[in-house]
Amino acid sequence: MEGKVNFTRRDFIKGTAFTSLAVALGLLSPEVLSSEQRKLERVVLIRDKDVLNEDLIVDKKVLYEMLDSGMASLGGEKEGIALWKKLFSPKDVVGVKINVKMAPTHNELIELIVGNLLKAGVEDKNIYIWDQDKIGIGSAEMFSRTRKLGYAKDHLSNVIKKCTALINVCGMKSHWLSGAAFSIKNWAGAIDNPFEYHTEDCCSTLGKIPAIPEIKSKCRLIILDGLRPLFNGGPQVDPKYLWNYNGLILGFDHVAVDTTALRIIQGKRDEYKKEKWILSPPPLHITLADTKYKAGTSDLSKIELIKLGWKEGMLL
Amino acid sequence: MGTEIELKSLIPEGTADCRKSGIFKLYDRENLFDYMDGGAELYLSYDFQKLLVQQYKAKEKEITVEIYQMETSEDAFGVFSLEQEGEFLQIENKAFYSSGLLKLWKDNYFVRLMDISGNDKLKDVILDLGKKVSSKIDKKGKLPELLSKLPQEGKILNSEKFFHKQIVLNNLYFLSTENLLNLDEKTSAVMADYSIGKMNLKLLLISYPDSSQANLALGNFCKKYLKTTPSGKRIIQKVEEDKFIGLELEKNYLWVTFEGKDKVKTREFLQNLKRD
Repeated sequence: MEGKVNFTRRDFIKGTAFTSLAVALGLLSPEVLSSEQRKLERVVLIRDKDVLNEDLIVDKKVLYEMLDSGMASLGGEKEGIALWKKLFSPKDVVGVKINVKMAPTHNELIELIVGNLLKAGVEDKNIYIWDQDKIGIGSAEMFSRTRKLGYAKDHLSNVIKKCTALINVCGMKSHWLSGAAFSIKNWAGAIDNPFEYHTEDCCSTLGKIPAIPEIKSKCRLIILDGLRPLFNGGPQVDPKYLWNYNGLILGFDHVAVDTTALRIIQGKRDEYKKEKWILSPPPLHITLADTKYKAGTSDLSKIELIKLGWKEGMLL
Repeated sequence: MGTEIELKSLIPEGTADCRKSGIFKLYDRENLFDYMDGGAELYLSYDFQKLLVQQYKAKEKEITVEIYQMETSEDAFGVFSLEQEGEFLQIENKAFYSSGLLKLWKDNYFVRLMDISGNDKLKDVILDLGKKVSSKIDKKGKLPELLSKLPQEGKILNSEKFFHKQIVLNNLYFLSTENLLNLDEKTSAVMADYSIGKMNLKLLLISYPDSSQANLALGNFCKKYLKTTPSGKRIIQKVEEDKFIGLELEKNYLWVTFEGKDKVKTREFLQNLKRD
């Protein structure tokens, strides 16, 4: 791997590098960031306290309303469907990259996304729902996903090659090796060499994946499933560290979405321990996705965060 | 070691309140990524051999049983040691339970039994099932010898974590993106938390294959982390936040303390370490 990152705990504490990460983790004040560029990346956080019941069953109607309101807000539209139609056309072949392992993305959310693509005019046969090389085509196969398309020579899934548009539907987890696993990490399930990114330097090169031109140019939407995130350990789950956050995070920029999710996970950790409980290892890949690979922005002053719905325990 | 039959023999049919559901799945070093993706490196760093996953149905809910087989009981303890939290249970060697998750270690097996709901509704069922799995493992296994070198005074109960590689250290205590202590599969390490009077600190003890490699690691750490040259076998240096890092070289062992807030007490702690 090119350009190794050398970064120590001492650098981290001194705040001499990875400033935006230190801000996201609450170690530095957001005022240390200064933005010359005025363009803002919009990220929408929407929550509803009734989306999960006591048995953790998803209320589909509530989730539908959350997604619709969130999409409307993200696109500055009256209804969510207007943004779906702006982003996807009947000519598109759309790949929906989900996450099926260890606290997977909720099936109810996948169903809603496929439903919205159909409403936007995308043909059912042109919707690919997948993780690793387990693929379903169309609504009938969205949960079974038994097809295999393999990978291209450049390690990318052939689903990416086949599609004209992509949606990144990721989970929200802390991760023992990379610090955190949100939208950037989700792409590790779309390549056949993820071990090359699961490295002992806190997986610092993960941020390179969303910057791969074919992914960057095709990915039109990120939907982060924050209904029941994991705030310690991971990807293997200890249920003690799952909590009903009941949220979705929507955006167009991987790094902005992940930076927002990171603030929430870090906030939950601090709340749980009643003191600063910094993620270990620090999720350097999120900042590097910005500063090194130019996959998006981690600078809070460049992120326009719209917060909707249930405020209690929002942690932002 | 680690045949499919051996692992299969460890899974019970069920208990009075739960039954097996579906067929077990088996994973090895090649396909562990299919089960847990980025989580696989953790187990591989403990010389993982095989994993068996079996689902059970209990009261309309699912319990997932994972039986991890390592090459040695020391490594099975190592991976278990990372999860020593919750209610302590004396199921054979050692076990912990909390919020629907039971973790136990016996011989070269690490076993997780989980109801993902995160509540205690199935606690009794999970404990019964765990005892049944445990009873099918004949030997108890042994703890890593390195643990016996840890000072007992001031040690926080069940805080010791046994491991080999940098990736685990950075999860326990992020030090650097670079492998400054030259950790690899040939090194063994244990990290534990201490409370000395009013001072808390972390102790890391690393065993290298020989003294020259321990010496090299000390030099590398001093140069790249402390930005100094080692002037002896004991070093204490102030770093950020008014904390002290202490290092002590002894044959093929390197002792490192972090987070100490008192230089004198850090020195005393290092002086009192148990030596061969």
